[in-house]
Formats: sequence, structure tokens, C-alpha cells
Amino acid sequence: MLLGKTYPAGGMGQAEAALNDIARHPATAQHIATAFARHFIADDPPPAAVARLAKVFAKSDGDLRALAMALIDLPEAWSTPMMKLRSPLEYVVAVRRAAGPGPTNVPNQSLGWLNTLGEPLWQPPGPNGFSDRTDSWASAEGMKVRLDIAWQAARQAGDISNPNDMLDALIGPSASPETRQAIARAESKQQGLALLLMAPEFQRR
Amino acid sequence: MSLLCETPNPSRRAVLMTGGALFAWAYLPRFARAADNRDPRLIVIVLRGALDGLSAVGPVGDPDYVSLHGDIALSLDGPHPALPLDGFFAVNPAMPVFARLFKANQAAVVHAAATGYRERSHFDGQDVLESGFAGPGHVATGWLNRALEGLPAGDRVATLGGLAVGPSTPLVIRGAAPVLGWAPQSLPAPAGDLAARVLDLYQHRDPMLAVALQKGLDADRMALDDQMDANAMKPKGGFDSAAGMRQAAQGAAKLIAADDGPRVAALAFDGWDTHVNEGGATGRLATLLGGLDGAFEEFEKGLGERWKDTAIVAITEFGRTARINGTVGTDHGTGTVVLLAGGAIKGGRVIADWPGLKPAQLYEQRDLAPTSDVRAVLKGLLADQFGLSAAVLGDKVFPESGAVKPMRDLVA
Repeated sequence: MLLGKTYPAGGMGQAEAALNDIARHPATAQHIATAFARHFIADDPPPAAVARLAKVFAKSDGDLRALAMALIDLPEAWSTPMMKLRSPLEYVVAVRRAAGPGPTNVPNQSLGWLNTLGEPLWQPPGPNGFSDRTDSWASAEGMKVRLDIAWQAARQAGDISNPNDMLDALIGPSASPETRQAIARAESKQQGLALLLMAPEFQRR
Repeated sequence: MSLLCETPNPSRRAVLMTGGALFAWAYLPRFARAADNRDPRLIVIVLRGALDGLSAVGPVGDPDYVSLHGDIALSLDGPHPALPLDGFFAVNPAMPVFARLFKANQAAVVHAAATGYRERSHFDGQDVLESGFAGPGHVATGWLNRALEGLPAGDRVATLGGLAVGPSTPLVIRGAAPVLGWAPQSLPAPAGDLAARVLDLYQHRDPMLAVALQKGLDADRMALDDQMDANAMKPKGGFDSAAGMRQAAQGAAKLIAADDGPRVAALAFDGWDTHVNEGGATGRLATLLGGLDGAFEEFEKGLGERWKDTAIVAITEFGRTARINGTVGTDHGTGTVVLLAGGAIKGGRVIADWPGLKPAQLYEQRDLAPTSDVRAVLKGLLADQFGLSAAVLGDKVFPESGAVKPMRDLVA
């Protein structure tokens, strides 16, 4: 008995039938659409965008590719301000892409950063996974750790050509005048790079 | 061997995501203390992996104890004699601080205790223990956080929020009430004025991040306090090591002792799942118990004059089998101990309706039978320390637990 419907006993078929019904349940479309929109648009995504995605999910019988295409077509996906904070995994990957692999080119340091930031790789605290909301990551401890990581990455970066050029390459179009100024006035290339890795435009997405 | 057993996988270092709301305790004015000069604090230590209560506090006076616990049974004789608490129970010799506090009436034991959970899965057992719900599956909020929420609006303890110490915020303190996170840090501190420059940029461009970063820097500075050398707070070990436990308590004590610091705190220590070579008076479990004992000592030292108003409670998801297994360890069981320490505790007592250890007296003929409910202990502490009513405790903090009455007079 599941959601008011009785499934006759009969091995694997029983479970498959139940799972199929769960997958096609309207609440599932709503749930997946919300998770999608929360990840790509905003913590509390516009209801219209969620409704549109839920419709596509139902219509395509759960085709995630179709869902992704629909998301790209949503104006909200492009117009919403950058309010989400990069998750620890996104942040660590972005830091590595910006500042290089570090001294040894082995993943240990990056994995250590993820542990310290509270998102150990593939080890969520429960089956519902890690949080996908900004307020879960923009914590006091979390931001302090990001500062330490930014400094460590900047210190280890082999060859920092010019932080101002890096700014243009990494966050160019979205960079605020204040961020440009802060980086231009840094007392060293290392500090400039660390500031860039801490800039709101680098933290948020 | 038991089912569903995973080696705890602690991330060795740091971190803490505070679940949700930001708050500015660092900026609160210092309130005058209450008229009776009591300023209660509650510290919850979750021992993950299931503590063998019969090896932590051994019923050395029970004639069936030795035959069940075999070579690892505690004894009042031998090279490592257990420390007697009363005529019947003795605490593991790895816990001299606890024994001293017990003698000074500042520590107590509730024995043969368990939550309402009767299966043997760590995950589910911890969910029940920490969420405070009657069954598993509730992983969003914990009872300690809901206790803060259950206080009257504007209550000082609620306003000051909670403190989470550990590799991640323990479920027990997750929820809507504000929680500050802290953990020993392993990364080198930024040189020069980088922090000030980033803060300045945030104040102009991103006030939310400015508040968060400022609080993170404040918390770190407070935990370090007067230690000139920031390296003193580099992690000395994970929270499954004795040094790591002691250090976690040391830092947490400084934050909790502050007049405007959190009044409730949660820590989670790992590694208690002793299926193999558990050891008795010495060995693996004794080493962990020594770490827990060190944590008690650090809290006593670090809390200073506030120790007298503090209650610390150490809880675990369930106990372990009464009989040792073929690998000189114990498997997942039921009844175990709750350890209480702190100046606020009405100590010097082992509180137990002892069920006995004969085969017919064991739960399912294998575990120490539970005769006390862990929730009754926790409710008693919350009622005595913060004045939460039985109704709020039975409905909101521990849902559907109205039948479990708060244990009275745990606090002096």
C-alpha cells in the first residue's frame, strides 16, 4: 500500500511499478523542478519558473535533458542577480582553475579544503545530501575558512602575472568598481590574487 | 558481527556551517545577570558509534558482569583498577577527572539508559538521539535547537543562540535558532591586512558576507583568547582522538564562558564503535574515554566561575552487547550510560534501576536492558537549566514524548 494504491505482491515488478508511479507523481515533478531552479536560479526561485520546469518534467516524462534546455530558455535564469554563494565544491574548483593546482598537483589539499569547509567530497551527512542554499554556506566559520583558503592558494600560486589582468579574465564583466580598486591597490600580487578569490563576484554566482 | 556498521569517517578538520540565520552575539550589550546570579549553560556531547556503557561505568558488584564482559571487564583489582563510584559501580580508570568530580558531587551517571530506538543502525539511532523525534527519518532539526526555539521570545538564552563544535554542525543543534560554528583551524592565517581589506570590500559591496566574515574572525579570536600563538589552536587530532576532544572542549569553553557567548553548545566525538579489540581498563575504548575525560577537565578549567552553573551531558545512540564477541569487542546493543558533569549537576550519584545481567534479564537476551529513557534525562536538564515546561518538552522539543516525564533534581 503506497499513496493510497495497493500493489499486488510479485517480486521486483511490485517495486518497479511503485517507483514508476512515484516518478510520475505531480509532487515529484514539483520537487525536481524546485531543486533544479534552486540550484541554478535562486534559493527561493520564482514560482513561475518552477511551474514551467515542472510542466516540462511531466510532459517529457522526466527527461532531465529537456529540463536543462527549458532552464536555459527561462529568462529568470539569466536575469536573476548573483545572489547564490558558490558551494564549497564550486568554490574550491574555481580557486584551482584561477590559481593553479598548488605545489604538488595532488588532490589532498583540495580535499582537505572541502572537509574544512564542511562539504567533504561525496560524504553528505544524510541521504538528503548537502544544502543547496546560500545561508547554509555563508556562515561565519565558512567565510573565515574561505579567507584562509584564498590566502593559501594565492601564496602557493607559482606565477601571478598581474592580478588586474586576472580580474578581467575571471570576473571581468561583473566586477564592481570597488572590487577593481581593492585589487589594484593590493600591497602584493599574492594579496591581490587573494582579494580576487574573496571578491563578492568570485564568491557568488 | 552486526549489520549496518560503518567506520566513522570524520573529516579531520574543521568546520562549521551554521545552519541558517546569522546573528550578532559579538555585538550584544552585556546584560545584567539574573537576580539569583545563576547563568545556566548546557553542553551536549554526542558520542557517535555507540558507547559501551558497561566498560565506561562497570557494574563491578554484579556477579554476572565478569562472565559476560570477559577479559575486558573492569575490576577493582589488578594493575589498572577501576575507580569506585559507589559500592556497585566503578568508572573506567581512564577517567580520573570524572571520578574526582563525582566525589565532589559534580558528576553523576544514569545507567541502563536508552532512547526510544530499539533497532541497531547507527544512522537511525543517531537520528533519533539527535533529532529528538520518536523514530528515524527526521534530519532537519535537533532537539537542542528546538529547545532554544521553545524559550519565550526575547529570552536571553535564546537570543545568545547556540554553539556548534565539530567537523560539521551536529544534527542535535541544527535548526532555525541561530547557531555559531567553531572548530580548530588548520590553515595558515593570512598575512598582513588581507582580512581587513576583504572586510572593507564586503562592507561596500556585500553586507551579508561582511557580517559573516566579521563574526568568523571574532569567534576565532575569542577561542584563541590570550594565547599569543595562533598555532596553539591548530588541530591536534580529529574528534575521534583524545587530543582532538580535549582541544575542542578547550576552544568551546572560551566561547561559552564569555558573558555574551552562547549558553548551549553541541559537540560530536567519533570512534566509539568498538567491535574489535575494544580493550577494558586500557586500550582503544580507554583512550577515547580518556579524551572525553580531558574534555570535561578543559570545560572545568575554561569555564572558570561559570562552571558552577554548567551542566554537561554525554549521550550516545545506543549501547553494546553485554557479552563480548569473538574479536574481543562488543556489537550494537541497547542500554548504556548517560554521563553528567558540571558544577550545576547534583552529583555523586549513579542513577539506575539496575535490571541485572542474567540471561533472562538482558534485552533480547543480549543487551543491557534499558530502564531509564535518555529523553527523561535531557528533559530534566532543559527544565532545570532553562525552565522549559513539560508541555513544550513533550510536544515540541521531543515530539510525541509526553509519556516520558522529565527526570527531576538532576541539577543542584
